[in-house]
Amino acid sequence: MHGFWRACVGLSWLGGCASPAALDPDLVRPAAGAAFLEELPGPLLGPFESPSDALLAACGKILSKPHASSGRADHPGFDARWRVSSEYCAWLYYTPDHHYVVSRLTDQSRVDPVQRSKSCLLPSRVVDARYPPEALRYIYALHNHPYGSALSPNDLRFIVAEGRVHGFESETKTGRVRLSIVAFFSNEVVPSSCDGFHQFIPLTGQLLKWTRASSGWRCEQTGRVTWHDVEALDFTIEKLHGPCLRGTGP
Amino acid sequence: MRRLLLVGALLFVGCMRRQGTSPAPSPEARSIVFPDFSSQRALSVDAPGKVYALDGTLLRAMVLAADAFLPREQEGRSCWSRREAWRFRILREGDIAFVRMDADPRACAPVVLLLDGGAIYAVRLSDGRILRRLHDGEPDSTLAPVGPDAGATDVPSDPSIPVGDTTWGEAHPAFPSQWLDAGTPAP
Repeated sequence: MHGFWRACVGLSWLGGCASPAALDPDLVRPAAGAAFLEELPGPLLGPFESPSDALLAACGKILSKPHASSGRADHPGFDARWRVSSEYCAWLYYTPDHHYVVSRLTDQSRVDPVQRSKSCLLPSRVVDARYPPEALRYIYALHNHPYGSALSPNDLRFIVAEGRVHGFESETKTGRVRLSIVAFFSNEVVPSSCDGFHQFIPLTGQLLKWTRASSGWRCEQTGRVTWHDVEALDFTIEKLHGPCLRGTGP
Repeated sequence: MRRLLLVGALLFVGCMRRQGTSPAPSPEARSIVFPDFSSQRALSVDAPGKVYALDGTLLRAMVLAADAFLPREQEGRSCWSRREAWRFRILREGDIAFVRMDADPRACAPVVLLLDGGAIYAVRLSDGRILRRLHDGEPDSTLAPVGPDAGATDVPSDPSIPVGDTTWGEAHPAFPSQWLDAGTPAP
């Protein structure tokens, strides 16, 4: 009888609310009580011939994960959907044999006692056993925003910190690709779909918003980020509102 | 059957406990409009040899926000649970102090950095009450219209730019040149 009670209490403490995503082979997480993962294994998706193909494949994959989208705020039950929503993050990288590849995902995050704060701790390094670690080029830091909000200050500082480690641009077969961070979003909860993403490119300072319309993908320049110190602590954003056109700023 | 029901009840209680570990906060004043912290540079108060003054009410507001966002009892969980791993910005408007909290990218190196996870709190100075909080990614209900598509331009973009392409923009003239010295060379 004592064993039964211990099992019940243990279940209530540990296993009762385990996410079904715990068994998802696309995801990696630290063991219970262990430190955050400091490297992410690859590959999950690819190889792709173009960064756009890889990016859109990653968008669909990430937004298909449980609670990746909380839907619109004006739909009933939004607060509850927000509390259970999750962020997933990964890297899109370029290999020595000239392919674009997406790493596996993680949803490791800082614990929030009231479950309103969402985050994803993206390891700085990808380990793909097929290549030496220093041969990989980091192209896009990927994650989702369950509501589809703009990139956060932590997102902007993150990608600058990573650029200082990995470099802010890479020579690829499709040209000199700049490092950027993107946040995918879906307008619907179930089934979720890749409806758009926010993007920040540190080298140009561009803040962009890509949305999928019936006529195809549309790009808007929403702002320009200016940094005011070499530690990347202080920045200002000039808000913009215009289409993405070659030869026009920001 | 009774044992199954008991196990089910304990699982339910376990879920309730994990999803409600903090006391319910007071109803939030959703009419409060949060300021845009990215529209102006912050004045840093850590310059050596300078004297700074701070009202006790502002100090109380910052401590209240920090206590709520980074509870002392959770400091041992990870580097990011310590308040010295965060940077605090404060903006005063009348009787309200807005406290913005973001991760300090220098604090936990070489530990992995946070994407999102910051927050802004609105604290009333006269009585030290948290009126509203907005976490990264949450919709600010004072902004209309709501939804991810809000504010999209109708002008078509250049169709020759592939989705997500990063090769077409001009380099920012103020991009810190020191940052270009870092990283790995092109293959």
